[in-house]
Amino acid sequence: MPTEEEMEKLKNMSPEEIIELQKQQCIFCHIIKGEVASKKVYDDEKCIAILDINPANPGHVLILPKEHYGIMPVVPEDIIKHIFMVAKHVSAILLKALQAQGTSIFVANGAVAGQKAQHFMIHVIPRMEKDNLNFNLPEKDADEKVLESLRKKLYEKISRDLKIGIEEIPNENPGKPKEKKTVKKEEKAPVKKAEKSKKPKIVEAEFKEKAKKPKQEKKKKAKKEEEVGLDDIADLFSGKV
Amino acid sequence: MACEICGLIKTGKLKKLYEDKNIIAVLNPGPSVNGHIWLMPKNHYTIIEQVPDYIIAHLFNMANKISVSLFEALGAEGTNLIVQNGIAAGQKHSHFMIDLIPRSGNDGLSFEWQPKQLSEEEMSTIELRVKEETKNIGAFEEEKPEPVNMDKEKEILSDEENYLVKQLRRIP
Repeated sequence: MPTEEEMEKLKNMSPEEIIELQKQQCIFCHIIKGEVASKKVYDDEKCIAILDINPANPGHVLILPKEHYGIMPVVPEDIIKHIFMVAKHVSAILLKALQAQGTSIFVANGAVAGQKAQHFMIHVIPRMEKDNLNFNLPEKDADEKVLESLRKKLYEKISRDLKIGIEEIPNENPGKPKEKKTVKKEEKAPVKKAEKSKKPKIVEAEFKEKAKKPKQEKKKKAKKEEEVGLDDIADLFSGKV
Repeated sequence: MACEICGLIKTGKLKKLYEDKNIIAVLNPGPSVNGHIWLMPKNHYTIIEQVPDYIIAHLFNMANKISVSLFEALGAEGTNLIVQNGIAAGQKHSHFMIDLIPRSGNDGLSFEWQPKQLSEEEMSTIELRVKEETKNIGAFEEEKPEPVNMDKEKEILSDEENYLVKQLRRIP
């Protein structure tokens, strides 16, 4: 625990200074710099991979960005993409070089998720049957209504965060909203049907008339016919006709 | 054998949170905790080794972004990303996926492990074996540009061909 004096110091530090202090105290930053010995199995400009000295299984690899990032959300996009592609290849190597029967790829993001070190990393753990490791995810029954309301909430939140237009929220719930839609459709449906049933007849008739002409011309005429048809429908809907 | 997950993706029965050309994020229908999400490629791959690099990059990048949304939307204090790759690793579905699990203090989950004790010699042997293979990591597979324009050109070509063929037939 830091003393009161140290706490006072921390309070007066700028965010940059705090990050610098974290780096100085981060064991993995020392490993990356080569100041602390490690079993390094991979090294490139963005990341390194080392063997975990407290392995869950023999061959447990840690993939670390060279730059210090405390948690995953602060890691830049290009680094995230790069290190997980490296993780994929490390997984393949563990299967091949160590004859592992599977791999667990594990990221703990935050202390409650089991993150121990203040340096973001990916665990790639070789797996064998009955190795007594537990990454099992218990399945619980979920209530359909609870799931659906959660889906709506998260869909909107994620779309907003990703800046995706949310005007088209797909509705998989066959409840009330759909009924409303069908009522509206029924009102306008007869007009639409009439328009649709007329159109093909005209087209067919024209096709018969111009049956002797080359195909390409036919296609063009058919397209024009469709365009007019669509406009007509639009006019009908807006009440111009 | 038909993949159960592919079927669910196609029928749209899953609770979709995000979708683009290559990937989809949905709510796990049998969640370990509230807000348990699956991120997966829309195409069928069984294990991570089969998934193209650029899809892996995209999936994990999206997993990170969705994690941040979960912190705010559900008040999660952390997230776990877990890939169970192979039956020995507890893989339950034959479709590669990332489990994204929002975490909070008393959710009853724990992914801790007891460290195994290995001798210096064992560690060194593993180091050498793995290091030997990682030399080949480097050029990552990038997404190929879409062949849409090619198709359009082909269509025009085929029309022209038809036209020419007809002209030829008329010559006699």
